[in-house]
Amino acid sequence: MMVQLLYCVGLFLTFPVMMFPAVQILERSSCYKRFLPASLNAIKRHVFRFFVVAAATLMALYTPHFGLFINLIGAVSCSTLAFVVPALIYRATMGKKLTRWKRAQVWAIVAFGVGGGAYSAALTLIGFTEAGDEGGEGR
Amino acid sequence: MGGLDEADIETVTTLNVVLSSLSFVGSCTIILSFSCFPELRTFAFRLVFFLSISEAFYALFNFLGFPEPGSAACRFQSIGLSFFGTSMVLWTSIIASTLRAAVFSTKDVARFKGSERRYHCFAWGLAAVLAVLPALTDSYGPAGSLCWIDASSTGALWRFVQFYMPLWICMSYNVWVYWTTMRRIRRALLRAGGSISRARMPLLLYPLILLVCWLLATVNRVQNLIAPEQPQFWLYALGLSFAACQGLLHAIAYGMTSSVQRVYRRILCAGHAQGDDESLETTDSESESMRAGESDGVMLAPLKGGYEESMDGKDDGGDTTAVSAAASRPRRGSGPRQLKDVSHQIRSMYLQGLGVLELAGFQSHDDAYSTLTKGGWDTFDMSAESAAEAGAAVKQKNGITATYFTMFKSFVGIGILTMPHAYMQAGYIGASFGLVVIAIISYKGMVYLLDGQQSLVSTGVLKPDELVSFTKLGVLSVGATMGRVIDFALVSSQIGFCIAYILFIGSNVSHSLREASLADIDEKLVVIIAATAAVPLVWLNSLKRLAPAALAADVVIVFGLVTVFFYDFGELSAPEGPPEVDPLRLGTLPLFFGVAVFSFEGIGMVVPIRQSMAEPEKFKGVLRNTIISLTTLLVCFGTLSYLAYGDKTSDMSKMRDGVLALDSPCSPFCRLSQSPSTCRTTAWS
Repeated sequence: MMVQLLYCVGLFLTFPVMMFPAVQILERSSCYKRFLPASLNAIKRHVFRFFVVAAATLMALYTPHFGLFINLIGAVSCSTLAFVVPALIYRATMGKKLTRWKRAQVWAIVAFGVGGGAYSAALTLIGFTEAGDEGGEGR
Repeated sequence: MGGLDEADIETVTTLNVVLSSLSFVGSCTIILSFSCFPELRTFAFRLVFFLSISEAFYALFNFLGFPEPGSAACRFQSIGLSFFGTSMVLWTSIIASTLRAAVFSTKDVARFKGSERRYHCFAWGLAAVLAVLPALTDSYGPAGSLCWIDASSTGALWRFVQFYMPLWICMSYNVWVYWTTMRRIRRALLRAGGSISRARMPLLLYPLILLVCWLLATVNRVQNLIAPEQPQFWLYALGLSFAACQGLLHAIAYGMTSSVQRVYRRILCAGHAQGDDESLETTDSESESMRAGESDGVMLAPLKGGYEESMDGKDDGGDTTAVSAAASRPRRGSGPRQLKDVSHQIRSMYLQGLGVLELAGFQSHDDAYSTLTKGGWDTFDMSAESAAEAGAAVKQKNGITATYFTMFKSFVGIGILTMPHAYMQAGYIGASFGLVVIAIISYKGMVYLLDGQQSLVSTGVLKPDELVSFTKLGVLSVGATMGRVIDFALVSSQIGFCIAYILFIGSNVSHSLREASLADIDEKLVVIIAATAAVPLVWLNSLKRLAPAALAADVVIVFGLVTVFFYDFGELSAPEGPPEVDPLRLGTLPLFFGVAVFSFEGIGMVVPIRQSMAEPEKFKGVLRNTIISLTTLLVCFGTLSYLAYGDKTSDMSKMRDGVLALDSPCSPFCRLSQSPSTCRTTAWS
């Protein structure tokens, strides 16, 4: 029990650290910049961040079978970040210098990322519908 | 246990374990700071470091709770508590004696260096001898709510001879030393025209902590001696709680030392100086001024109207030393900085300053101040100047060991705790095999990213040392679309994990509270409370201020890991034998994929870490070894936990169910990588 509580404290402290990059990227986007004049930046930032947290909380409260949801995000976003993107960056930068064998490797990895991610995501979605049927409050 | 019933004992044990964990975290913070920042490795901090080691172990032995009397665990705890309890008291006295020697003697540095071995012999040796004594009469056993020296008459004798007598001798010595030292410094200050109120606090903290922590415990044991039949619950509870707090309080005292604060502040600010175009702060004028105040710390102190004072009273000295500090403090962006033997220099300055104090008195007002700042004023502090010198060390490139450390820190996140669940989904053969495959492919991906960055450098698009975010790399190499894809993936995964975090906190807090029958709070309520509490943290403009918190979180995570391992072994050796497990589960295998990918998500970090290395060409080897050890760790951990628990639902697996949702795409710390400079500067050097 102690471990659990300590863990929760640890997580609570990590929460903003996890949130930060996301908020940062969102705030860099053009939508955000257009929304209000820059003179109101401080207020805007606080309100905006509050809404991001609020949105996350609402999703946390009303998403059934969260494990599946997380898996979906993991399969799509994380495999993109870990496999597909680096391989594409590599291909783009090294383009002409690659041997055929190397090129095949690159595409194999892209395929692995896309295929694995998509397959996992698809099964997760199926899991969702099933779970939704059982739970009766599907997404 | 006479007047204590089981519920009472349980309460006391729980209290003890809770406070010990806090102490443990505190001690670990000190230990980590010591190992991370070379500026904090002065002789004095070395002593604090060894004190913290004792305290950390003391706390660990407290974690055992109250083992069955007569069991091996009980004996183990008794010896551990007795040994580390004594050694931590002895270390405080050693610190006191060095302080005294530093203030009152004029001998040179070499004397101190030589005496360290003697200190070790004294602290550990004497503690070991004292710990052996009660074992001779077989007096180790239950002592109220934990195992220590038992309550028999010989036991009671040992308690006092073996622990409380040395404790009080050390304490009186400490108080005496601090008292005389303080008086001397005050006098010197007065003579130099300063005011008395300035020399205060940190010197007194250490003996005060010892006094606060052990006073009630002593009263309790005396009461035990006088009336063994009527133990007082409150005495027990308070005595043990305060005793368990020692590590925590020391950590707080440590954090109040201004050199520690300075180091942290500087580490945090150094990130600003470099990561300007990456970090968001530039958008905001409010944070802009804040940042200026931070990064120019000492220099701006007089102008900023008491900025230093508001941080900490004892920083007042910054005002007068500011001139010299400004002269020697490297400005940000100034060229290559020299690296000196920082710790040696600080130590000699420290003692030189004190020598002046002893021999010549004070020449001038300024002289007095700087001497005192250098010297005994701030227990074991370095002067503002030497702090600035030490600042040079931040620019130092990392060696191999430091890189390993950083890598490990970036990769071992919370992801590892999801392994048992992942194993449940894929079966132990399937999961182990899958992990290896994904490890290889992740490694490939990271190598691709590194090569990509290198080739951008070679074609002149990037400068070799330019810090570049993942997104920017994508935009530069492939195009704007790639940037958007990366942004989307980052945002969705981060937000997803944030959601997971609060859900996990919700379910676990409410579950734990219910379990301990402290309160019955609905999960959703906890979620809402946690999220509300997190809003101000999210409002913070700079992650760097959270760096210590993130470090603490990392410590907690490692601690959680160790605990789960511990439970696993216990469960494997449980009489009912291991549960049913499957070698391979094809049906849920795809669900394993996501979790496994998370566990290797350190990719955002590889480029900055490589750039921070002194010999970047060796990075691939480091990366490979890190991945190999991480895979081994994951496989061992997953297999062990799965074999121990199978699909069983128990408290631990309840925790795991939560842990499932607790994945991080990357270790929490490494998410600082969004402004990569932070990681670079916090990278261990």
